[in-house]
Amino acid sequence: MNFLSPSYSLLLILMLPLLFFLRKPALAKSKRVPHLAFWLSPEERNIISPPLRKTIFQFRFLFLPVLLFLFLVGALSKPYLGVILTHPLEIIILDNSASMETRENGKTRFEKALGLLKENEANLLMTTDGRMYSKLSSLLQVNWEQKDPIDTLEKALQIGSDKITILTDGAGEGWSRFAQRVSSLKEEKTAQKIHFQIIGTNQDNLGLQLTQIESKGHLFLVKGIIQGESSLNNLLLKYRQGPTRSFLETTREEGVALDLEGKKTWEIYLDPDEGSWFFVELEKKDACLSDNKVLGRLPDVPKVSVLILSEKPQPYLTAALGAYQNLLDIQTSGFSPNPALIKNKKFDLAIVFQKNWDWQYQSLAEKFCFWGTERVFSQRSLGEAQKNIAWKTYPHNLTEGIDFSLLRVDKAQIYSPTTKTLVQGNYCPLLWLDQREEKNYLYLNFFLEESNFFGLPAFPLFIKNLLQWAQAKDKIKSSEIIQFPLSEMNNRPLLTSTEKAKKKEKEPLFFRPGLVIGVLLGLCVLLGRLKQQ
Amino acid sequence: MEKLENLQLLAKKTLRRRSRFLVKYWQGKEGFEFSDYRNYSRGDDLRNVDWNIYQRLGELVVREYDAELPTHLVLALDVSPSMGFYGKFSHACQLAAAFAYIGLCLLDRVTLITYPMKKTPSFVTYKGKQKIRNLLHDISCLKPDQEGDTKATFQQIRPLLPRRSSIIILGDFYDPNYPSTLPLLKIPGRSCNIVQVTAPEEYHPSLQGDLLLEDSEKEEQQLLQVDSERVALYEKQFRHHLAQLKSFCLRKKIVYTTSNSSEDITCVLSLLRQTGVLR
Repeated sequence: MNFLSPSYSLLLILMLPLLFFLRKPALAKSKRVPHLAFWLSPEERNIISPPLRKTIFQFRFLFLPVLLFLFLVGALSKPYLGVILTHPLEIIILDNSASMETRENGKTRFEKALGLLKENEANLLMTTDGRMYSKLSSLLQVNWEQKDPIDTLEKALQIGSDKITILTDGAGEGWSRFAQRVSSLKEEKTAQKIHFQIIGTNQDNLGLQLTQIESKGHLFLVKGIIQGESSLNNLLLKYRQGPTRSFLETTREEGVALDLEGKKTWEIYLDPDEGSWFFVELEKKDACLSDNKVLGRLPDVPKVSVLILSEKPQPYLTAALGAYQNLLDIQTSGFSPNPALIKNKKFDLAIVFQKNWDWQYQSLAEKFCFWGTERVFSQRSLGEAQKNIAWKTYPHNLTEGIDFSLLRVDKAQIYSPTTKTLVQGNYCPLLWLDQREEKNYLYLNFFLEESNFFGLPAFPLFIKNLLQWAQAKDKIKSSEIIQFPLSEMNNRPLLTSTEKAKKKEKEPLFFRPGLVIGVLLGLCVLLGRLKQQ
Repeated sequence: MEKLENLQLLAKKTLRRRSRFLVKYWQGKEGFEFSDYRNYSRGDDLRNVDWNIYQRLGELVVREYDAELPTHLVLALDVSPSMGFYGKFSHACQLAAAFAYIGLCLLDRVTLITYPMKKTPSFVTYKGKQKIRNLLHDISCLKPDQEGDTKATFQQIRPLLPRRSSIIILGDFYDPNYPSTLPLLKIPGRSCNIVQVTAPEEYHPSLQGDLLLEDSEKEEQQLLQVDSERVALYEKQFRHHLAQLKSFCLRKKIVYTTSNSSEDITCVLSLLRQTGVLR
């Protein structure tokens, strides 16, 4: 890049005689003579004169001209200084991944990118495999062993460039994360420096989008569409979950692959226990080219506040609840021997270990789990309590993944069968659900200590299911979908050198404060000198 | 070159005439060596008859001498910055070229030395007339910008001076140490000549006003009010310097000549005669 154009240089040269003129009055007119001693009397010869250079470079002689000179240089070179200050270093990152070998209209994408680069004057050229080139001629070829382009971006940012242009076709493993990184830079306003230019016309695989995330039982259903126009038969949908969004930056692992079978809409189920962050990506079946990824976040599952109403401690239950602190709201949960003591509070779930229950406390919780409480629903026992063995388990969220076949109950009241029985014993139902006044109840037809339930491995799982059942689904906040298709980034075409020159010409010359100050100062000093003379 | 060709013709004529004159009238004196006897013939100078042989043998024989003319001309040219004023250096170069040309035509060799030099002095010898172009080119490449110790340069040159050589030193001799430097090139049996190059501006300077005068060779300067009084002081000291140098040369038997830069170089023959290269 030229610091000064010829016209500015000429102006500067015209100023030099002015500076010389200004400097001269500061010194007596100097004259070199062949032999100074002839001009001096013998007495004067003994006086040692200071060297000439010391006098000339004295601060008082040179301060003003140098100051003026600097101002003029600064004023005249303002547009170029501006260019340097705003764009001192322009870096172009060229994608030289294998996908750039794709041939379109007789030319590869890589050749197209090179054609663009030839017309552009960037300071530094980098390729996505991390190499740097100062000359285009020393470039380069497609590198089949690709490195992560985000490393190249980080390197370019470390260099401190003010404009980074990325020439890419968007196809490649790392571009989604790349775009994600650029998106994170938006918060730091660094992203404004980064521009993309998409090479190639076939960008159909950039249309992967998440449309909806909704709760389905204890799972989440994630729906999405693919907006590309080309055939999807060749594409696989892959997804993977992780605890934090940073799992994307870890080494790539195989996710779950789904064949789209030509469908543009897709649905996947995700388990919040496997992590709240997930990404979905498209991958071609027969090529190494993979598409952009879409990162999503499952909604935060609300924690459950639990009230345990029991006259004596329930250590087994407490231990099981402790294992699921991620589901349990410890701060609002409580323990009370008598519901009358905590009238004003409200819980998601009340686990009742009392023999009798007063319905005036039904506002205490949204859901109730009665454990051996008699006459809750005004049903009467059909006979004496009997020993029971779990005979049949009905599928439900509460019984999912639990083997009740080992459950033995010493005393279970004989009640008539219900419509929502979850576990049926050999004499009577052992677990069932009921609903009254828009409130859900789970009834366990035995006392915990009068069964072997607390010793079964199923017990903590049941507690987990119980907590998930009690979760207030309406409290689930909207899900977070973070998409980084490259086409939505700063997609600005590269300026050619002629376009750059045109842009520079548009800047007005004579309305710059630096120039005006410089010229005014110069005139003042000139007038001052003339007055002195 | 035309001027130099004319100079050559003049010099040859002069040399022939002088040689005859010298052989005829100066033989037997310093610079002439005995070579042979020959029989007396009419017209021979009786002073050359060897009367001892006549007494012993009764024959009249005449002693013949060879003139021991110098065969090597050494030119030492001042290239100090003070020579760069008022056309002195170009005049000195012209003189050196003229001396060298005549030297190459009439003598065997010409050596060109420049002084002062910071490092090893250049000591280039030219032989034969065909080398004149090289010599002129070398002279034209010289510039008066060398700073150094003249005494050290002369000390280095002294052992290199050839036998039967005549030395001509061209310069302004503003170095106040000339009483110690010039005798270094005054070697017995070899003629030493100096040509002090001056300029009319040096005799009558035209400077006036408040000036910061800088010495051309030393980093010295002095702010002076140059008026008629100061100019008179300068002229007095300049002439005193010329007179001192002349008297010094007389005392040391060094042939001293001055040459003004306004003069034409055709006067070089008279200089050659004055300096003794041609007798």
